[in-house]
Amino acid sequence: MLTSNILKGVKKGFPLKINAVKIENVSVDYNPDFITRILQRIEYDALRGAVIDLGLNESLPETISETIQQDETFLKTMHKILLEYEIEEGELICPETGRKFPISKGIPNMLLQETEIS
Amino acid sequence: MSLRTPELLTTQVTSSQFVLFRDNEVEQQPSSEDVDSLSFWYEWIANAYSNVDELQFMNYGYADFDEHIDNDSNYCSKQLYKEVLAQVSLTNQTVLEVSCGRGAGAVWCVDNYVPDSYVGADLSSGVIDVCRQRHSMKPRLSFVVADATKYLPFANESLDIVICVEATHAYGGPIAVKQFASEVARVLRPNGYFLWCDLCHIDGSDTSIDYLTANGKLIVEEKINITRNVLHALDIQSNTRTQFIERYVRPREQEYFRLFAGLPGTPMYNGMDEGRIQYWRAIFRKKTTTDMSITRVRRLSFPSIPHY
Repeated sequence: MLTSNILKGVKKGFPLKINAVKIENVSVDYNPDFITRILQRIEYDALRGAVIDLGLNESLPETISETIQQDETFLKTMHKILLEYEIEEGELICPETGRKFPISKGIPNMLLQETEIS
Repeated sequence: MSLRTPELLTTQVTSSQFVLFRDNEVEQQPSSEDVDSLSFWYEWIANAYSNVDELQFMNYGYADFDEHIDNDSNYCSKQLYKEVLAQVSLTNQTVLEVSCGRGAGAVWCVDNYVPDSYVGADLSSGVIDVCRQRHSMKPRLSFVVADATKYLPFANESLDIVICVEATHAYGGPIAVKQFASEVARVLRPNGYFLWCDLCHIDGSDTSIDYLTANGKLIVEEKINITRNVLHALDIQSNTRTQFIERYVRPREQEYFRLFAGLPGTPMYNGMDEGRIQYWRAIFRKKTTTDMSITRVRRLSFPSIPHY
């Protein structure tokens, strides 16, 4: 899932930039209610930025209005982006420090070194 | 499953020159620094026999006093999750489970509550790998390798619920637990819930609940001593666990598995039975800026449970 760094909130050091070396496609059942709900919790700009960075062939509008959130095509695109792309190999990069967190076999490793903790 | 105190383990290891085996038969000699760390032993157990169904849960389990039959070897472990969640629903919530182990509890939660998203985090990349292999088809469930005693990779106030089952005793002492509590408080939204259960050694040390509330940001909504229910679960599971260990576990590892399984007669079991060790569960709420001591925003209905 791409959602691990796009949950809304007050943040510093987010969103993490994503570099993908290997992306896989999976098939997930579409549930429009779920997509509508989770849209409220997504930092949309960060998600859009991630989609562009990854070079995914999906077009997302710059902003989302109330009306587009009911649009079936848009919801299906969101479903695909959020649930059907799996980043198998790559890295997450902190926008402030440039620190890279590896993604291996689909799992981000967020362990820090002792020296990195204040 | 829970672990003996480090002093007892260290004695065992140095006298028998213990050698570890993993599923792929690679031998590893633990360093003397490693064996003092409970998290090392936890990780070893977590990575062994990773494809065995009976070992997908690694907690002691919970049983009501009128339960007597252990048909499904994971039933009590699921009951423990049910107890920890109490009346808090995960439906439509963003959830983090810290020290998720092999993810069986995560799967149970996702199946039963349909949260918006559920992330399982664990210190061990090996065990997270197991999670991924077994659970990658669950769409709302994902995993991350992280050390909760240092840093949780989530934005401030971004989660509704944090769950931690039978793990904080292995975090490495009060300072680590307090740092963990700070991180939990940071990532929870105001009025978010932290659902927790674990062993508390009462021999000359504070209970974990005091360490978790030390920073003043997590408020105890409910705390219940469930020692006797956990002991009852260990009792009713002891036969199946004993047979499982004898049938599946390599002979030189059986003693350790018996300890980890808390079988009757082992130090943890005896400690709980004799009152030297207690097992508590608690619901903590993330304080809001307008909190007053008796105001509650979300009402919970509590079943009547005997307090000891």
